[in-house]
Amino acid sequence: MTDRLFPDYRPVGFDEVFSESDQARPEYRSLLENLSDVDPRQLHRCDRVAELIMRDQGITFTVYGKRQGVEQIIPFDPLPRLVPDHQWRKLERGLVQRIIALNLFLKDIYHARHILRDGVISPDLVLGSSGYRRECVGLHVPKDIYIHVAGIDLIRDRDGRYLVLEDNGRTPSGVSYVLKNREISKQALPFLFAGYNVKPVEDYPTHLLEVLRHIAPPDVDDPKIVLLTPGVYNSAFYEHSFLARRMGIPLVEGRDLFLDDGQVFMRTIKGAQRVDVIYRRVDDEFLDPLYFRRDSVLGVAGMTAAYRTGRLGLANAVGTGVADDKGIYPFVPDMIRYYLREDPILENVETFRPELASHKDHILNNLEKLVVKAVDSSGGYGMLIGPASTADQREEFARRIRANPRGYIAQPTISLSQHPTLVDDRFEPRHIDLRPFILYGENVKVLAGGLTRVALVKGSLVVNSSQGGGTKDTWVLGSDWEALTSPPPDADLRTEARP
Amino acid sequence: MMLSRTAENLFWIGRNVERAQSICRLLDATYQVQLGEVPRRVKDRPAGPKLGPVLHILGLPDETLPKPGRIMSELGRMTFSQENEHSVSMLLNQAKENARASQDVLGAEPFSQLNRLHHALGSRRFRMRFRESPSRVLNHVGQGCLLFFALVEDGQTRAAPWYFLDLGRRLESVGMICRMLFEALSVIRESSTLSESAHWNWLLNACSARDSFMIRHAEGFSPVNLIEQLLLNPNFPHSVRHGVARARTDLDGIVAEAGSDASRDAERLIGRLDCLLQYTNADEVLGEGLENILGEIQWTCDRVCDRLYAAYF
Repeated sequence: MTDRLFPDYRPVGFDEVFSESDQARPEYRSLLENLSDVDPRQLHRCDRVAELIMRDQGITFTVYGKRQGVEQIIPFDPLPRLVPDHQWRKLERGLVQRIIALNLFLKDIYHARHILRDGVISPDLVLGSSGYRRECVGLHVPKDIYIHVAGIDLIRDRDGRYLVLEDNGRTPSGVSYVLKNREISKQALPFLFAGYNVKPVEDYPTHLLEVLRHIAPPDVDDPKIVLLTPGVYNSAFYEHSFLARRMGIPLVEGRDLFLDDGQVFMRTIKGAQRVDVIYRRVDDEFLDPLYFRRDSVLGVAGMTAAYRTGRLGLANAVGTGVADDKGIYPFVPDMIRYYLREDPILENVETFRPELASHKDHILNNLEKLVVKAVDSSGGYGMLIGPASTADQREEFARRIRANPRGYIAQPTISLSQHPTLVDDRFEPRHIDLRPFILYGENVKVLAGGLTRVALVKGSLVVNSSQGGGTKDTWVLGSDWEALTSPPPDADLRTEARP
Repeated sequence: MMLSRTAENLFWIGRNVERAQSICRLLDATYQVQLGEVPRRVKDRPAGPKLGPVLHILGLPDETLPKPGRIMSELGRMTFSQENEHSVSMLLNQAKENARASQDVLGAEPFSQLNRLHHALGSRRFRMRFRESPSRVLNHVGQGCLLFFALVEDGQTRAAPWYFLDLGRRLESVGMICRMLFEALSVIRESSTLSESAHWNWLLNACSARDSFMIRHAEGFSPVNLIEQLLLNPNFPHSVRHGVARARTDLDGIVAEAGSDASRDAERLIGRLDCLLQYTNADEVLGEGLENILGEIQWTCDRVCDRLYAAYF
């Protein structure tokens, strides 16, 4: 019945929809059934509707590089990724565990530094990180929470095991696409929802607002909260605008704010109005020209002073970039054991650090097999994918690694899981990852879904939107989905048996 | 608690979309005249005779007058040009960028409407359609602007964001009608019979006033009728008096929410103008000189803008 849409479908590695015996996984059966009467042209029309919605609503992303500052639509793939409830619950536990440990780590390194003294992580590694902010030493942040909003990138390996690829604890972006993808799915592909109980994602802005209220200065009853954006030319401006609108808070730029008598104010039509909490989408170094980059015009001069005196709540806190550092990433499982005395629920990808002589030799001798990443880069930039690299590129990275071993890590090239993705009039396997979003306020909440990014180029492992990746709607199925779909006798339960 | 920057953005969105819509009407009316009878006033111009009045109404200098025989390319330039800041495309692009930066207050739908217009004006299909029929494209864009205002009206609480946007729209509308009347002034002076109906049709079409004028003044064109319809009619959306009354309401709303000395001064100026238009009539206007009244209206609108800048932006 779906042969028309899946002719010659041959996944390599782990496929999210089909098991090795080419049987549809239980959670996908209804979806394939819903697709059975669909003409490929209808899917194309849906694709076109999605594109039009995105274009009209300005849901665009600025791509830098050869086409400097060109606004592009992030392609939306119509077939959603499904995560059954039992899988999601485990992921949720793992993500909560990880974010709690990362917060404890940040508090520790800016105060007592137990983890450094106990030799779990080298002080040089932490204090030398580009994300480490000396200005935050001894600074007490509201409620001791540093990372209020996190996006943790997950992949599934050849065996379907979820692994953490990287932590994003500075200003993670992409959540607006999670919400928009769901809206677009409902508008363009309503027939796909038949037989499913999909957990909602629409309440994210409400929860985010609760988190922001939670970190307001203690003596403020009705905190004034704003979202600080670098401006319309920022690649994620759409998201800033979207979130401000959904939370009903002003979207401000640095030029709208000023400091007076140790308090941040914004310029309004009623004159200066006090600001108590800033959800900032501006990186640390641009936040305050008096403390960080002097040439920054994106931040507010003196804002850090208000933050230090407790008259301003900031989300995320200043100095969280050290937890983002890919050089620190290999130690997160150790942090979990150290602070929580628990085994990590989610494992890391095996990581080699050129700082260690044995690792460096291994990296330099196996560049063609490894993925090399700069520790402070993001968005798919500053990366070498060994199997897809040229000899010149490998030589260049070898030179960089020798010159600055602290600046890089290397990981085995993992064949990310694949998912059917619409290509012309058929579905073809494409690699995907998943970025769930975690909010840390009075308690920790994981958005039931996340951003599934898809590498649209056949065989490519780069899913970043800045590198031409697309996105999919991600459905976390309610616990009753299994009652709605009858599991087949040969259902592939391999992933459930894994730890 | 609206940001000053946002208030300014909204004010200019209102102005630019209204201006774009007015230019569409003006260009279409001019094109229609060009296809048929050429009005005397237009014919008399030494260079670029077809678009001269349009450029004057838009406040553009004489150097921008097109060479004779290039009316179609000039119409295209004033619609699509990316270099001419007064083109419909550039005005809507500016409005779209302001709307993008203020989407948190303006809402998603109005922004999407401007974005759709922006994309349409940048498309090849639209340019080809323009070559086939400028009217079709100009009407489409003009109606698109009206849809934008309708979406704002439908979705906005009557509070400061709404008032700033509507105030920009009304001040622009008042200025545009005054300039159109000003352009027609010499003809009103010269003609007692007003036999050149093409000219009056051009003026009324450019103000979207033709049908409503004919319903109210079936007896035909006269200076008094035109002044009553375009200057003094309180119930016609494209009359000066209607625009001034709306601007006054908008200012009242703004001052009630965020009053200051400068804004109260603006309120006083617009209130005085509103009263003047309420308690005069067409004969009095002609007696005192239409030119003088139009000059006073434009002067007042400029001062109101100055006060707005001082108080809020």
